[in-house]
Amino acid sequence: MDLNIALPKEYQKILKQQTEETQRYCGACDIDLDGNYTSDFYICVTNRELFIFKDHSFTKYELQSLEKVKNDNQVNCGILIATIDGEEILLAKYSMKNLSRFAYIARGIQLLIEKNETKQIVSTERERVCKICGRVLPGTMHCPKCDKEHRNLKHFYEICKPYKWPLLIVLIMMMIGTTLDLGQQFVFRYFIDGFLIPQTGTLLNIALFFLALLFVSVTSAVLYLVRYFICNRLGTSISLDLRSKLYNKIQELSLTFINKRHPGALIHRVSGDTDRIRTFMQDTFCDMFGQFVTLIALTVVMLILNWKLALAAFVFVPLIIVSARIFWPHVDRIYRKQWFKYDKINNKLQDVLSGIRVVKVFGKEKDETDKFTDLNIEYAHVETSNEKFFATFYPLLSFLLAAGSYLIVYLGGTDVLQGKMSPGELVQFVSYSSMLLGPLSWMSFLPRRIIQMTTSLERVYDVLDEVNDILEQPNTIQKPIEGNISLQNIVFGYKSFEPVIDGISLDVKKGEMIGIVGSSGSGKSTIINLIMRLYDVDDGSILVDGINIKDYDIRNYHKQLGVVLQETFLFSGTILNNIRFAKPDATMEDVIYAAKRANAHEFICKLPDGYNTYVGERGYTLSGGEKQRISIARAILNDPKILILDEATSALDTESEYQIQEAMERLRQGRTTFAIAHRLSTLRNADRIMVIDDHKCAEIGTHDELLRKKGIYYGLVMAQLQMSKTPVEK
Amino acid sequence: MDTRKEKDILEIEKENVAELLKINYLTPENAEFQHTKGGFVSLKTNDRFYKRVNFHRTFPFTDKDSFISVREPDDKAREIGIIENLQAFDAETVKILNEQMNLRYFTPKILKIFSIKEEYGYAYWSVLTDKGPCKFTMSTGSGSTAKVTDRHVLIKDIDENRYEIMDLDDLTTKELKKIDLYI
Repeated sequence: MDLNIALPKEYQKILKQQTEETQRYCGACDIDLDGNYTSDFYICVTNRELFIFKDHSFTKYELQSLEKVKNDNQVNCGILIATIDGEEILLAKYSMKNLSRFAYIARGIQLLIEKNETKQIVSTERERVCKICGRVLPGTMHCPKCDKEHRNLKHFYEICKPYKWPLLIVLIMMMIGTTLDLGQQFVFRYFIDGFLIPQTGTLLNIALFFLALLFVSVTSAVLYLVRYFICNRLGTSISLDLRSKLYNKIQELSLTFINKRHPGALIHRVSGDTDRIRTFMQDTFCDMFGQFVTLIALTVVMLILNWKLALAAFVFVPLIIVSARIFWPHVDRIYRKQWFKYDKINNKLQDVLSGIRVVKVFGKEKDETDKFTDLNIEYAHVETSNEKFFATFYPLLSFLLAAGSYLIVYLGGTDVLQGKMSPGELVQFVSYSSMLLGPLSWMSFLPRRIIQMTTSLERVYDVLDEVNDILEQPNTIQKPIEGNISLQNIVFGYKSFEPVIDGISLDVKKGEMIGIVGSSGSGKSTIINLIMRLYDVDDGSILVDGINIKDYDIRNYHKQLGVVLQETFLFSGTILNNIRFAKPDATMEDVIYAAKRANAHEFICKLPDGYNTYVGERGYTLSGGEKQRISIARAILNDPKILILDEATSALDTESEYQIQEAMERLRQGRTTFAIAHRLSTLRNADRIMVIDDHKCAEIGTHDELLRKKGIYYGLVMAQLQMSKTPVEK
Repeated sequence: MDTRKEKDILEIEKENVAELLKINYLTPENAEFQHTKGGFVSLKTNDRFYKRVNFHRTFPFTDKDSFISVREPDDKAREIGIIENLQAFDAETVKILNEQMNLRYFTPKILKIFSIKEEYGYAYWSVLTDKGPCKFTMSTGSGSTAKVTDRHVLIKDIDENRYEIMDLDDLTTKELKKIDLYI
């Protein structure tokens, strides 16, 4: 993201007159202080001054007179505030479009105020729209319109390249097929004019004619069959390739990418879009050669035979093209509307079925049924209206397509009567003009099919060409880690304008257990996400055994982590497979040993299918505590050097918690452990506890030290003490 | 730990909870709002002075002038009190407070739709709003529009700006046709 945009010439001139410094940061504000849109409002910063350019004039602030400059998020907008002599001054207002930019610029100004002139704030965020045409840029960062590289064609060539030979075979077969179809009509003409009209034919002639037709029909059928198999295989192979590539890419991409996208949208790209490309390859692309070859061959042959009749056959073509151009966008629109309405019904159904218990408990069945019926009626209306349109539109299109043939029958018939044309020739011509209908009507669908395919292709390549946020260095380190971790002034925010972690530093020795506490949303889970390198820090660094976390091979590093989360996720499969998830080659003995240490062996043995019990969706229902113990066994089996426990016991009853606490205590021996817990009793064994408040480390020390300090931690302990005492008092 | 001390803390906690549950109404009698030099608003209430306060509408779409939560401007944004009805204050105060809320909220109202062009999964809108003419881009996937009521619609663009159509009945048939697909 550009944090130093060019000022308009008028303001550049003023800047030059006012200062010798060059501009360090510059951004355009799109809202004036009265709350209206503007295109004439700039904040520009040099090493020493802050300029506000507006309405052909300017205001200048010396940076040394400012105590602080910050971006303040508002509702769907942001404001820039400066503090001068303890008083907050409103400098600018901007929409969400410019919020990130100003959040970075404010950080840059603050550094300059603190006389840190050497450090330049740089934004790794991407511009969202094309600078030339203003269109939204996809993940590829190439504008679909302005990019001169014809990316769609390039991508299409890429997916077809491995299949050039089958495609060539299809093309040759199509040409043979078309030649046979055209030739068949010549045979007919010869049969009518040579034998039927003069009535000179013999039975042998009829038999030969029959054999010729049979040969053409059988050959055409065989060609069609072979072509069908090749095209089918081609489409399936291409979609298989794309699905695998997409799946691998999604696995590779960072959580930032996954979080930005709706899971449903990604699923649709892997299944729906690849399937659409398959359908295009199978039904349209392979056919396309044939249709073009037929159209060209027919046109040429018809023009050679009788150019006047040929023109008559084409006279309605412009009308067909014009009506198709008018009607297709409308057809597209009405069908999309139907699809949207259908989607609404689905969403409503999903909503109500997921919350069916709430609906029943509140006795809202009738209300929900009424709402659903309304949506259903709405959908039915749209569907009926669309069907009505099609019932009118299609016969009209068919009539236009066939109109050329009617004209040929009239004009040709006259020629035959005048002796200018033989009856056989007329039959041949009428047949050709009917054959013309196929490619013509097929081509009227072509633009729509191509658009559908290119949209899917774009969406697929939007993911495939996405650059991973977490970039791996060229020579990454693969080595066993010990577990010394150092957080050095780390800054991170899921959105650049909302830092979740704001300058936290901490040194952790191997084997140490660090408890992390703080209110919801304070950034506890974010810290461990950064330690797990699910995200990269925006500023500062994380060192593991003295080496920057970014220098490690990410897969190798992840293999050395053990994670137990609050929401235990078990994959559909057996308990054995779930425990062996991180180490598929673990022996049965290893698995039982891990389960025993996780206090899971006992309950697993009591299940009828033991370790082979199928769990997950539609599988055996395990309690929260049981699932948790399996996830602990999964973490133990991997023998991790760093252990992450994120609210691992918060959703459990006391007995389960005791068993899990015990298991976790065993698990953490000799490993560097980071544990987040709401229940502070869980952290009594922690070597140190870090209290996160206001995105910063507010307190750190042992349990006793923090209690003595009587700060935030003390308050939290007391509040929990009161909660646990309340029932006793009753 | 000293039991007496612990009891005191528990009492304080209880009082804090009671304090949290209480609604502290700010009225012309107990609250005095003033413009600050920097373009914000200060508050003097019950012998306490706040250099700057923020105003959070509790019903920003359905009842803008009622139950306005007055809060401290820092990250924690603790509530100082609630203005039950803005109109209870004198005209000058209403003006100051409205200006502050205009600073905090930015949801332009769409008055006229010039065009909506759809390309590559995004709809490019060109509209006239009460804040001036504007062009924005909306994703055509689900979640870009929401209905406050049957006729009152909210539209979210790709940058998470929001726009309001106060009443669909105010749009022309041509304009309605343009947005028909998205609402």
